[in-house]
Amino acid sequence: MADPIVVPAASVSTAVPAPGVTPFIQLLGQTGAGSCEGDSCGI
Amino acid sequence: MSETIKVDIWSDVQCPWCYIGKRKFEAGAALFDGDVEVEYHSFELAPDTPVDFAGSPVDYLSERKGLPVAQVTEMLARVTGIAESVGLHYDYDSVHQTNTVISHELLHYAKAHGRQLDMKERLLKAYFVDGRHVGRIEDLADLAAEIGLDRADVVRALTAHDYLADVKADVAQANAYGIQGVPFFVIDGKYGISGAQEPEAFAGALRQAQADQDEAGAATPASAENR
Repeated sequence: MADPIVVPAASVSTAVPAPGVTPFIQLLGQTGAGSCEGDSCGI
Repeated sequence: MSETIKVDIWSDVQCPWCYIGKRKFEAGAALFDGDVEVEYHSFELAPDTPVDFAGSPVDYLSERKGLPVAQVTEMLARVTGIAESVGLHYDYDSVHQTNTVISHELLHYAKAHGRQLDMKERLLKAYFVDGRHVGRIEDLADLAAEIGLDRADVVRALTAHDYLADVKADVAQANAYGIQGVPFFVIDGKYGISGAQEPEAFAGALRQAQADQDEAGAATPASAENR
């Protein structure tokens, strides 16, 4: 498994905290896998 | 003994990678020797899309992205081929481009009635494979009835927007996580996986979460003994 990448705290908004859920997560796996952002799906 | 690993998945009904990622995640979970609980969350990729877009997905994407029709057609053919590789038969010629907010409300309705996973699969297949409309209440109620939900009650709940606040709460949580694209998987509340990655990536993250739980469980008795 790839080394975990720690999400910089500065890149995570905490403006809308959810009860019982931390907004700080570690990203695992590879970057650049297929995903959609807005109308752009890398397709 | 390890507890069930919770996986929260942010996804949109009209996201081609979300259906592909669903299949890859399911394959990864099958490689994992443990129990997994999945909950889907709402993410609206294009909340300004009209319910009834007059045109094909090729028209929509070429207009929105300013790309030549031929290029968009080629792009859709590529993702269709990738979907085929995981056993999904996308039919973009029959897709109805639409606004998905009410389909997300339906997913929350289904969750409240213990049928979210079945509803998610039905909606994705309806959109990408079956050429069904997933933006109108009556069409969504038909799909809900197909998995055994009460059609009349679905129409009532969607008309009253009983679950709209839950959709917005999911979107707010995605913002809190810094999620910008989907699918996005949060494993046990602390590990994130972005995109339709290969099954082994999901299996590895599940094993990591399980190992963390085992480690925490092993530490607890020792702590108690030290009291």
